[in-house]
Amino acid sequence: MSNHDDFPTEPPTRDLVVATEESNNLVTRGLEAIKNRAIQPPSLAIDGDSARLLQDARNAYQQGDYETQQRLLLTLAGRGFAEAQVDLGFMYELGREGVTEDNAETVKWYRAAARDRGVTQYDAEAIKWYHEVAEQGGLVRNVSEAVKWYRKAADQGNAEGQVNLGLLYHKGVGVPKDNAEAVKWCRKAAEQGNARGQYWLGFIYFFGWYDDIERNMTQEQEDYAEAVKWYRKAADQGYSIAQLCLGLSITSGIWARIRVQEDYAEAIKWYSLSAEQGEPKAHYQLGLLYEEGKGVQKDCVRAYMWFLLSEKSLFAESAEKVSAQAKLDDIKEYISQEQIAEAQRLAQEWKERHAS
Amino acid sequence: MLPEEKELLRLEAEQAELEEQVTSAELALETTKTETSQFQHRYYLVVGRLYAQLDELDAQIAKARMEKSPDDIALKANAQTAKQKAEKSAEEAGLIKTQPKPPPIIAPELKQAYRQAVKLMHPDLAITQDERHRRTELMALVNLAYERGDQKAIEKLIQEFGEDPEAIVGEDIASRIVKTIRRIAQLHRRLGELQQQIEAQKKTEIFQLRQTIENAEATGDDPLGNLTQKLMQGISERKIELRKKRQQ
Repeated sequence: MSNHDDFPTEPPTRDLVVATEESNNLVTRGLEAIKNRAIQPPSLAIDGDSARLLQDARNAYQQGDYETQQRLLLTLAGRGFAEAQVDLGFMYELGREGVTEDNAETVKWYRAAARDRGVTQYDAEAIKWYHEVAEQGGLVRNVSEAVKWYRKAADQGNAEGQVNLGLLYHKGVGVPKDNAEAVKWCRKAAEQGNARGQYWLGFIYFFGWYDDIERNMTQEQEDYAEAVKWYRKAADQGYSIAQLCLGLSITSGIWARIRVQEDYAEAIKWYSLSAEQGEPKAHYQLGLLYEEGKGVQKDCVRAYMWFLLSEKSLFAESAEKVSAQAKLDDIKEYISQEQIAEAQRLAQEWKERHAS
Repeated sequence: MLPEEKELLRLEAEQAELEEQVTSAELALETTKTETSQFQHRYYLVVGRLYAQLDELDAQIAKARMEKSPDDIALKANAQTAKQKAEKSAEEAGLIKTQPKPPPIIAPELKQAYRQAVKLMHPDLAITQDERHRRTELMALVNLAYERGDQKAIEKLIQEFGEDPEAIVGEDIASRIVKTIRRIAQLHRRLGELQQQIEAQKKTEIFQLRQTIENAEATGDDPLGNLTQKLMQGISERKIELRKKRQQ
């Protein structure tokens, strides 16, 4: 057993040869091979069967048949099919249990919204809204399962899986909050050319370090430059939120802080591209620029039109919605009834053009 | 009741509580060791053997290359290194054959018997040095039996141990208090030691490998199978290369 003052002589005890330094060679090699995930199932090529089943799972999801969706995804994800792993992770992240006839519609709506608008989950009001709806729908989220499946996909190099995993690290949901880890995963996706990964990498550089005061003080400029760089890459690929954010980085004075000439025409360009894709916050920003005549000829009718469009589609509790309403009231004070009617007509036309 | 009697009761309760903890910790340590040893066996039989084969082929390829250009010092050094590596791997992979095969699973009855044995004959319950020695030797036998999954052997040891020779002596309260305090101190020390040993076990590479693999297996992955396939693929590639080298 052990040495003790009273019992200086101890008979030797026998230990299993579990691990000695010298005998570890082959163990180390195996451990490294498996830990580095250099070892993947030999064939990851998606056979026709898997691809068809994934489509079946997605159809089941569209039809609200979450049981079937889950069953199929579990099978496919178990086969190491990365896309199915991401879908499965997403299913767990959003919540999967308690879907009944009563709440099926709510749940469907929530999930569709979450998928479509997933990129804006960072808006405090959006998060709140999602949670409320999910709760009403009686959904139980299982984030640690989500982490598990995202990680599997991410380790296979699947960009969507990498971004989703990175975001959970950024939010500290299901894993300890760790921005360095978040940056690592989003960067992997971004470097593969994944627009969503580029956007989120930019986002984390832009806002991500705000809780790290030391970093904020010393690295602010570099972080902003990095953020703008990745926003631009995603924006160039037509990613609407990134276009909005790139515009914001100009009009909020970030370019000036990283010693890049502020260019409102550039901001108008990116806001317009984003607005064309129906991003209500870009509508609001365009309203501001038209109202003030920055980067564009001052035009109160256009401004009114953009505020009108944004006011209709922004989240009820968002700050922009409140100020869009205030702006509408302001502008009403100094433009004519005809101009208001004109703006309303333009807004209507815009909507019809973008209805499809 | 006398105050001494009260104190003795309190101390005996404390001792009983500690005995329970020490027993559980002994069991946990032995179980970890045994399970890791089972895993190690499985690992070496499958993966270790393949690594050794792979290294042997590498050594032969290096040798064939060297023989093609006998004047090249770099190739000579390569062949030498590859040979040493192959020898080392072969030796390591061969070691497992010399060890007894651990039981496939640890039955709950086996754990129960082990618990019973520890409670009865734990060396830290001994007061005299002779008794401590006797118990230490017995415990080593119990541990060995447990690692082999030999429940019968443990039961036999329990029978042979018989009555606790220190327990039968009628004593006054004061000396019982002294002995209990001493046992408590010994148990405390052992508990700390066990916790350290369990931690040390968990830090070993083989344990980490086992954990990594078992976690993955729980989620439906088969990293060991994948590794095996990869190694077998490497082996056939090398065999082809070697054949080419020899034909050239």
